[in-house]
Amino acid sequence: MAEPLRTRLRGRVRRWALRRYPRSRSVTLTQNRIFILPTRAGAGFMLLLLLMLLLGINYENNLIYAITFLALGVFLVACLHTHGNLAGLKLQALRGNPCFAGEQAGFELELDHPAGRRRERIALQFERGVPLLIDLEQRNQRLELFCPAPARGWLHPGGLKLETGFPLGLFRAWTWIDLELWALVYPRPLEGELPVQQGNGHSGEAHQGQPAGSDDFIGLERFQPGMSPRQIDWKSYARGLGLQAKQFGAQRSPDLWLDLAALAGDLEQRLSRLTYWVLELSRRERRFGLRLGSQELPPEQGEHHRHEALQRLALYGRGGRG
Amino acid sequence: MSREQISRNAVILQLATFVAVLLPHLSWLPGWITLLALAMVAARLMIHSGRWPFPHWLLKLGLIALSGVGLIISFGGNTGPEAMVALLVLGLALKLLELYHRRDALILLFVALFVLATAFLFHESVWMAAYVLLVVWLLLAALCAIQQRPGRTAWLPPFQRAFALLLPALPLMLVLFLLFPRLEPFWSVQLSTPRATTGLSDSMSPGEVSELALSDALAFRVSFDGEPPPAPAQRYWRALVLSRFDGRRWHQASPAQRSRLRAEKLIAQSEPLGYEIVLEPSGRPWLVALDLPLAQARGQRLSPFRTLLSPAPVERRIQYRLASVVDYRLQPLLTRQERQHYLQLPGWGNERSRALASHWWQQSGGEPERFIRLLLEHFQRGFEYTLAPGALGRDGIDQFLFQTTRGYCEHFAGATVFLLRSVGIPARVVTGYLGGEWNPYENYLQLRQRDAHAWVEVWLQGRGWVRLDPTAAVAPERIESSTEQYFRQRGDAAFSGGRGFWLQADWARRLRQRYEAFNFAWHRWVLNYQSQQITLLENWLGGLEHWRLILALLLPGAAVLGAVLAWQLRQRLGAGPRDPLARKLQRLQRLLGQRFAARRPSQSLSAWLRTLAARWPQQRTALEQLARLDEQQRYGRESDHHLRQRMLPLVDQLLRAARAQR
Repeated sequence: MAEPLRTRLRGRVRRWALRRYPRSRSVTLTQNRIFILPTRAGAGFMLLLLLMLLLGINYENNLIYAITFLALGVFLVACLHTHGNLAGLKLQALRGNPCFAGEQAGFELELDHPAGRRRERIALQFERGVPLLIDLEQRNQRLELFCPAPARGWLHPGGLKLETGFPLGLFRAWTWIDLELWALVYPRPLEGELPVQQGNGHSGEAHQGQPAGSDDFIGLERFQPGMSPRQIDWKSYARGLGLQAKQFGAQRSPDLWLDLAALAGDLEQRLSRLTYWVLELSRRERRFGLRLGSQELPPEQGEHHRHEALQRLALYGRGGRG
Repeated sequence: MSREQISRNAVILQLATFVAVLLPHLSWLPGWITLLALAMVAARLMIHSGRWPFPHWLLKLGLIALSGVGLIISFGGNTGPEAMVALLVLGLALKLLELYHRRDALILLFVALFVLATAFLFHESVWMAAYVLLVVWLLLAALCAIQQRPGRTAWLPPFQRAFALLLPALPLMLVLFLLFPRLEPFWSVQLSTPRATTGLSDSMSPGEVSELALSDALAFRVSFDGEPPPAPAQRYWRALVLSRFDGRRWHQASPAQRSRLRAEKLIAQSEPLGYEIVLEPSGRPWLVALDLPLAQARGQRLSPFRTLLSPAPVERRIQYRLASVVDYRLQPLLTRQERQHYLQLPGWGNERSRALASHWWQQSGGEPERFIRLLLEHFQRGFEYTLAPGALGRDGIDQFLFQTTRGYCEHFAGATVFLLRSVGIPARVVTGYLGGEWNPYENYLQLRQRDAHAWVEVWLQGRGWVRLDPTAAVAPERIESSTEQYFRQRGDAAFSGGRGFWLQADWARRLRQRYEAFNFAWHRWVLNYQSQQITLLENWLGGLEHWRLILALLLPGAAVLGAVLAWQLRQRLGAGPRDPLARKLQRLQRLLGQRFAARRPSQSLSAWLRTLAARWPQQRTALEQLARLDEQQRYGRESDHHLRQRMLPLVDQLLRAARAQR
């Protein structure tokens, strides 16, 4: 009975805290953004103070009064320290790193704080993410936080909670902030048959005969930085000929077209299969084009192309951010 | 987060805290508890170093059962604080074995703080207070350490953090200590360790007071309300009236006899003198008061012969306030019963003394004053005041008067009362203290057990009870100076053994007095603050209305907490960067921003300077040069130091020019 009430209350506080300030790329934690309450240990400490006070009263012992008041003073000062562990901290949203649906999306942040002070044990956590505990020692620190990415499209990680119990664990200070952070989530890759179309576009002719993956070896060329390490011909390296890259015939084969229309079934599944093939073909360093309904991405190859293709798959039929 | 493991450092700090908390209790804890506690510390260290595993639950259960049995044997049905503290110490010791998670550590430290506080039930000295403060620091450091990441190994940061927590808490403690109302105990509690009794006993036989004369122990301390203390010859502190003699010992009146005595009537003949007494624990119920108190303090009883009694033996240091007169008439009329009571003597023994008394009585023509003069003259002839009078057998008074003629105050007092009573003059022995050492640093009078004294009160027609001190006739200097001084000057063998020579040196005495003054102040202002609180607060705050108290609590409290908060946030409230170049650049940006165009957030410093160069042709070269240097400083390879040295004069020049333009 108590637990759901508590979660509900927490949810309400979170929503209220997030509503108070607009979403922004950079946030400085001011006093009025930080909440602070005693923890369970703090409540225990208060009970202890009460018992000590009783001891002092009953034995009319002024030194016990004194140590009780000293502990109470420490309790109050600890409250300020806990608050100070968060106050003044500046968060800067850097970027969200793309990922595939079902994975964890990484979001990069920079924490900046006034020099000369140590901040310890700050837990950062997105609403649905896993917490990250950090000690801040330098003036600024970059870190990556993760949040589950359930579906393709633009993903906003939700409110970011910063929480600390430092230094005594008697108080918990926390804040909710809404950072302007987005990560692109690609569809989840799904293995399947190659939905290819060959030629210069609209003929719809299937790639003749050659099944995918049976690339022919053509020859060796000098390995250049940036080439895939899979292409290295280790045998020649072992013979002392230096790093040589294998050349495959498929790289010179005619363009492939990945077409959404060539697949049947559920839209998400089709996009997933296309995603798989975008990755697979990029890995094999083959040129391909992508056709999603009326959108068309001309055949190309390389990292940039791959990203462009994945982005189109991720955003197909989806609105913008927000 | 409470299930998290704590760091190895934190474990060591917990163990250190436990040992530090245990130390003050070693003086009274049963030996087996101490041993068990130390064994647990050792066991936890073995676990810590990986030599032993964490114990099996059966072992823990066995230890708990053993401890329970031990507690019952040691303390039985006793439910005093000792049993409670012993139980807590045992609990802590056993908890050490499962000290692993943060939650265990929290419980351990919380209970340790409580046990630390109970140390004050047994020891209240200023040294103990200082020690406890240090242990609180250690305990806070341990509390900080358990919050650290398990991997941390630095020792210093927890102590630094604990210091930063403790320092602002001290003024808060002081304010609360001064203002918090002292409540009456909710239920009555008593320490059950029996205390040894010291000081005067309720009967007197020759040799008993002189035993006390060798004791340096503190008896009580008196401070007078701004008035000078009475003259040394007036400093008679009454404690007991002994009116029954059994031939050897002097006793107090029995309760049955006491009930037949009326409360004695006091007619003051001088201004009352207000003072406060801090009495050391004696284990006995009688209290001391300057010669004759006007009334008893709260919670005390006044006996018929105006001595004070506490309802229970004095087991702790107590403090009470009295007003006394040193010039008075006491009980001008005696009833026949009272007269009989104060004339009581055994029917036999000490025949020579009785004969001497009746001889003097005839000589004096039945006038008590003349009789007393004869008696004192007799003492002045050939009697010696000494701490080593030798033992007396049967008919002790005869022996003293006719054979040894050496005695201490009780010999003289006892013999005087005997002689007076034998001729029908009502008289009684009074015991208490005489004199006292004045401490000029804290303005109080200090009386030790060696100042114990016995004298006589004699009832004279028309004057009531009059003090008569036969010792004054034998050794008048004793009345003016302390026992110690008196015997030291005379080189009494019995006394010279006590202290080393150097302690008698002047500087040593001053040092000792300062230390005692400090202890007295500690007791008055800290240990017994409740009796000072009301007057002190009234003086300071000008009244005790609620709003005054609340303001007095809130203002300093808010000031301290505000200071901590300001310190916490200091960098944000501060005036920006500390680097002179960065500061000057910031000022330049503000000045030129007002004059020309403010730097946009997206603009780099150099880009902004170049746009300014176009709008401020007079300083164009300087602006462009500064932009170039700034870029070099940010992206170039040249040494930072050289570039900065070239940038500073440029910034200065621009600042001057910008100011001149306004």
